[in-house]
Amino acid sequence: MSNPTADIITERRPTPKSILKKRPPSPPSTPFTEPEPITGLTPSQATRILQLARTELIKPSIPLSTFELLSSLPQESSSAPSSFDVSTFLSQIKDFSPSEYLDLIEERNCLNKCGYTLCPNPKRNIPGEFKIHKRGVAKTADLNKWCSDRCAVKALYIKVQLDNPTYVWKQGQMVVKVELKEEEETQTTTPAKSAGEEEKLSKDMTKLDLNKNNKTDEEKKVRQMVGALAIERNRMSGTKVEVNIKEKETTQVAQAPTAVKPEDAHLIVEGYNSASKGKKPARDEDDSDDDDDDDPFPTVRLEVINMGKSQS
Amino acid sequence: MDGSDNIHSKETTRLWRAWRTIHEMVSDRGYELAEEEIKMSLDDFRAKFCNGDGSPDRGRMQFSARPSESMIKKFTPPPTASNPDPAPECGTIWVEFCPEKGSIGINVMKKFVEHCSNNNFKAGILVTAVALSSQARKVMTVTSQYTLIECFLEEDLLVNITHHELVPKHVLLSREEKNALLKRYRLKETQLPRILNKDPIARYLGLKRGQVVKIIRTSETAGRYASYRLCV
Repeated sequence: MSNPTADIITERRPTPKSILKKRPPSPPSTPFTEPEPITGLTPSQATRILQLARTELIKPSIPLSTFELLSSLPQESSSAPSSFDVSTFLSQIKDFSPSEYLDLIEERNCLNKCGYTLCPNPKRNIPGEFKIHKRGVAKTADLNKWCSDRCAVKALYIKVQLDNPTYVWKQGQMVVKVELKEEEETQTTTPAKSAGEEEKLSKDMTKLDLNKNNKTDEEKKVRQMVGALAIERNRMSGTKVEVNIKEKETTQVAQAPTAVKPEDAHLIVEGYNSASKGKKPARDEDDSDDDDDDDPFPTVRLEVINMGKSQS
Repeated sequence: MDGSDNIHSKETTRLWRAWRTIHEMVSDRGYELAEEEIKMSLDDFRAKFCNGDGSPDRGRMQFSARPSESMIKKFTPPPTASNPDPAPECGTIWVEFCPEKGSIGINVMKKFVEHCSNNNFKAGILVTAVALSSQARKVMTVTSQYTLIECFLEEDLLVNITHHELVPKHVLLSREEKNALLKRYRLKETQLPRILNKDPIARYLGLKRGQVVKIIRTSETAGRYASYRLCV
């Protein structure tokens, strides 16, 4: 590029040899113009398009009032959500983005409620940082978002629908289709059914009179043989002991032992819950005052402990 | 000493340090506070804000402060023909410690904002023990046009960062000083170096977008060296 000062110097002195590489002559500099937009749009057009996008295309964020409304649901604390609650929830939730739905869960947890919007229960409170769960180790922070695993499933069922939305046409508009997880029939109906069955069974059992029906021939034979054996044995030992065998009265059907909570099943070793360390079974708690165990001085020992406490 | 007592004393000490830092912050921003308010000793703090069992009561930890003369002067925009007597852009500040320990949602934040606007506070600082929910943070930004709401975590206030030896002195420039600076160096606003809004020092000083802060560093060769940063 030619420079006015350089021109003056050339007039006075012989041209100094440049140490720079020779470049092709640069094109004449043009006066400053607006830079050519890459998209072929003028700035005003671009602004207009941006404005249009902001007003119409980009979904507006959910207003705070909606969050407040949904975190106050359900209004009635019954186990089955009312149809009003369900319809409010479904009509509002279809505009939510997945992250906003997570915000809603967080907001409900702030109010100490279960993260599932239609659940009236408070969230559960598992201590510690991690917990062994059915499918491995889970963070308690994640588990404490819900009141139960069933609510977690129901709430995440909605999340999945928001993540991968299915659209339906409704009044000329594309609307995300969201539906609640269907209540599992077996879970809701079995308790009632089984209760009825149990009653019937226990009645049948009480009606059953074992002494009346078992006087068949075979049993008679068996009894005779057993009697003969007993007599023989008595002769051998020389002493006679009277033994009375009594049937216990059956009042109800025997129940299989169950864990307290299904999620604690991994802690149970042959019916013993290893999590409740040092805790005695409930029947042992009021044993302190009856003295029919081997321990000679239980009461004396208790007094010593109490004295030690009061002194410290 | 009992275990539970120990826990309370630890918490009380932490709260006392946060209480002190927030007072220093408010005073550094230019509000009027008495010396004994800022330099409260731990024993005084215990006597004032602890319950009978030694646990601190956050509900009682709150104060307000009025801006000082120099601050009002700094925050008053220059008079114009249409507005010959402009109102200062600063006012009384309200500081409150949040007793909530679980998590802070919309309702807690709304209550705080409402309290600030009902009592005509121009600024409000909520000091919390736990993080805000994302929607609560939204409440904070939405209402910030009327009152400036800020939130600090207790754990961020345990030490006063401006007292660290590697942190240079930051001075907020008034609007006139900013204009003089731009004129002196023939700069446009955007040609200044920048500082983020969420920078710890910017949060400490409560910088807003467009304000310029002067940073005074010590220099081995020049003695002192000043640089300027625009808050974005």
